[in-house]
Amino acid sequence: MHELNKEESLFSAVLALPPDQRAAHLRQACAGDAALQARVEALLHAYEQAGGFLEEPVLPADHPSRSTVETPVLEKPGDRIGRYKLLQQIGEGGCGVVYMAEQEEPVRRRVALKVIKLGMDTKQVIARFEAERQALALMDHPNIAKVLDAGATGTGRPFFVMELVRGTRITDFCDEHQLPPRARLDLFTQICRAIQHAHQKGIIHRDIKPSNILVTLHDGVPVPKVIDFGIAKATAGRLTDHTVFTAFEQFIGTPAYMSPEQAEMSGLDVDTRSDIYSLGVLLYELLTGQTPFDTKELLQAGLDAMRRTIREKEPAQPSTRLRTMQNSDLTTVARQRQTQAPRLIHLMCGDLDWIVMKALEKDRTRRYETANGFAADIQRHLRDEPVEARRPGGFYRLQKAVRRNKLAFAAAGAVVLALAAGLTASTWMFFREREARQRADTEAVKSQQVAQFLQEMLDGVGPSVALGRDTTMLREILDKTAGRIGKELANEPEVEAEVCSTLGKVYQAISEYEKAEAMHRRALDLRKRLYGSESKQVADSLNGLAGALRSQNKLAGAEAAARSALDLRRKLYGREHPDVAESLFTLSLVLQSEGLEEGETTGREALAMQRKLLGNDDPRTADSLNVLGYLLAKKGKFAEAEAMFHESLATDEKVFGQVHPQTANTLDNLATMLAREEKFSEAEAVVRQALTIQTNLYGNNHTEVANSLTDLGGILAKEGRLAEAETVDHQAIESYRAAVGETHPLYAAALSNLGVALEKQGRLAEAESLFRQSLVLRQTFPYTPNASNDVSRSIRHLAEVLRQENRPAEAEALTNMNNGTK
Amino acid sequence: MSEATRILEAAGRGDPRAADELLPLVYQELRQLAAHKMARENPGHTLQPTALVHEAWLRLTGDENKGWDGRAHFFGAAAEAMRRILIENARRKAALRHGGGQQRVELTDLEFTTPDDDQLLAVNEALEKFAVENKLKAELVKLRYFTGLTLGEAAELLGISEPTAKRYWAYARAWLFHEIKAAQKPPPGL
Repeated sequence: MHELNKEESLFSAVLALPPDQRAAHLRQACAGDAALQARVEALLHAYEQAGGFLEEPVLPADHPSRSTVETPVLEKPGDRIGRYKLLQQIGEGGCGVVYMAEQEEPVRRRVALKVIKLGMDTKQVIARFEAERQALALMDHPNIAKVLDAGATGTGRPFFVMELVRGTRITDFCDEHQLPPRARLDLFTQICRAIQHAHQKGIIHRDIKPSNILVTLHDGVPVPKVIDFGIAKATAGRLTDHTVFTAFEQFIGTPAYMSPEQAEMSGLDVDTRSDIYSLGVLLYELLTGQTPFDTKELLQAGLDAMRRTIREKEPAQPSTRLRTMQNSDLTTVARQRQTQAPRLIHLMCGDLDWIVMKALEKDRTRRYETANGFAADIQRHLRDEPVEARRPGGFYRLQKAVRRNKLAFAAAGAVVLALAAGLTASTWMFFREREARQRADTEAVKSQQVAQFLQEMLDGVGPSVALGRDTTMLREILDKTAGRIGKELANEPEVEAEVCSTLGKVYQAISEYEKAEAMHRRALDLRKRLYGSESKQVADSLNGLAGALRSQNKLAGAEAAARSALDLRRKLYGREHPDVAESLFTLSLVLQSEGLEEGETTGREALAMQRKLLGNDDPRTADSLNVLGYLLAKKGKFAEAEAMFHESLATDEKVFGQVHPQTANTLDNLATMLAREEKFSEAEAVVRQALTIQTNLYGNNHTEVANSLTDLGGILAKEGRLAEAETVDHQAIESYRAAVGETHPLYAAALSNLGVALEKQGRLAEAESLFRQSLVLRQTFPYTPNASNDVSRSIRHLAEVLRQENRPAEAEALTNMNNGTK
Repeated sequence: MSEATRILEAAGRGDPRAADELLPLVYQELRQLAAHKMARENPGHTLQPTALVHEAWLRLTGDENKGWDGRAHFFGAAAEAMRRILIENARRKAALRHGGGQQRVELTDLEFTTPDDDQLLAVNEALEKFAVENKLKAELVKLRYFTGLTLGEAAELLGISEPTAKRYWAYARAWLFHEIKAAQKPPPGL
């Protein structure tokens, strides 16, 4: 591997000699080879002249990043640092090496001594420490290890001396001792109290992480101790350093515990709430065995992506994280907590999810204000009292839903802004006439924006919020807008008509059919006056109205409206036109709802026209394929329906991409049909695909997800894979609980599904309990369309279980009651 | 496992194809990293090549990079990649200065904290000549100059002893300095 040439070896040999001997040696060695001699002489001359040439790399040598390349540890046991004698190394972390050391004066005691590894500015570090020393001395808490001293080593590196704690890092301790969640929560609240104590003395820890919380057993009772107080701050000046890379070093080991404001690395704006965030991460890890963001992934993403993740990405809720774990991992995590996976997940759902997520809020004003507040909420949970960290409602939930759907995020924000601006504008109207007029113009523009944004929002979020409670805010926005248009847009009939029409479509999409009808009717009236009854705008409104009426089962009116729209469009555009095809399709739906065979032929006609005019890759064609496929499947024409679904799917994926509500919807339809054909394994694969997409889009707690889980559970049960069905049914229940709450028909149905899966396994007592719960719920909401059917179904299930349990009399009584209700 | 980790591990096992794949990967990573940083920073901000290389190393390998020999391959590739980036950059800027700037510059202009571009180009040119006869020594120069490794670290990565590295270094510096000086003199006869 070594490279040798004559010139070089001679050069090196000569250079190694004292300067006064060089010339003679060179002459002798060259022995008449004048060229070689001249060459080496020239090189030696160049060497003398070169000075610092190349010695500086393209980066200045004193750059701190140089220290990343393994600075050797210079201290070793036996060495003495100040009045401390190093005994043995007891730990090594990202920024330092910890030794057990002996202090000899003024008292003889053992301490922990931490030498900071990096090339830090020792003077500054110590100065910062000194600045906080008094405050640190005020801390006196059994769960806090005292920091005793700081100084500089002989090699000029800063060191800290702390109370010696011989403990295990908290996460390891909990897992090794298989502490159940309850014990973990107890331990955690003790840590909160300790942190609170420090906060009250004005000390922020800034580096809360498992390795800084050690647990020891005192008479068999685990006692946590928080170490390293004051050290992060003393060494934190670096974070303000402009060299990004240096800051990067600070990350290593702990980016997962870093709060969003710390990730900003402005270094200036960190307060006690940053500790609250890190406590949230700790609790997350104690409960799920994982941090909200994976350290390795964070590091691999690179600095900027890492910062973005910490600042912007919503982590999965603990229950969601558990659900999405590998089965083997989940089993391990559950075992380390002395429980089973479904129980653990169940335990996380609700309070604990919310508590953890509140601590992990990106916006620190939304976190717990104090560590005590955090602890108190956990205790409320343990006492089954309502927690402060409630499931966020209304606006906030919508925000989150929208945030999940990145496309629509901007749109939603703009809607809110536009509305806010609108409100301000109307107040202004009372003031000056001229200005008021201008404002009104702005207002009109705003409303158009509202219309447009609502539409965009609907495109992006519509299906995702359509069934969940996520729609609260959307509904509010819609209702407010609807209430305003008559008053504020009285002089802007075009805009009013536009907004009404859009609102009609949005209401339709979120299943508010009556309101949709009203909006379409209003738009229709306005447009008739504005554009005449044979205008394309009128045709559009008629088409929308037909849809709204059909959904309310007002089929005669729907058919009339659909036919009028169709006739009008044919008149306006001729026999073949995309809008004509749309009208044909609307009509086809109405006819099919009426149970008329003509529906199918009309649908086929519409599809053929769309294929011809729009091509097969148009979302409208895909939509028709999907709907027609669904209708054919209902009629048992499976083969053709399947072909249509597949074609629709191909287009969906092309046009919208894999992860899109439309794609998932088509997959769902396909899965349902496959299940009806009893092609269970295919159905399972397809529904799982849909589920993946929906989970991606909406997270776990959403009706779409719950619906697919229900389908999956049903398919698994039909295949006789009852244990799996049971797990999935559990997930569906949790999903519904989070999405629609417990007093909802879907939740009741999910309970019943699980009951069936248990009954089939002969677990009759459990099944009975579920059927009873479901029945009670169903009896409380008798106004849904299928309520009485649902109630009698629950009764039948329950009676059947009772018979199997050999309790015929009770079964009999129930059945009689059932007959009574019919 | 990331693409980078896979390639680095393969390179570490001595797979020659992996070594070929590594350079473009590292090159691209450094370029992206640099361009990304430039895009985010204020005008007038400069990049520090060495910091960039180390950040790329962490990015590509995450936190599980302790002690495996992909490191040597990485820094080898990074030295070469960084050299190319700096040279391209310096050349492009020189071209713009000398009136070749009609064409639209496609890539973000990167500003590095480096010695002036002329010196960089001169070193590079000399280094290319030097490498013909002295591959290992040229490698040593690249590691030190373009990634900022110390002599000891570079020696370790190259598998040579530190005294040897020291000797190589002295020779390479003299050689390159001589070469550059000679190139700067007007050719004889003018």
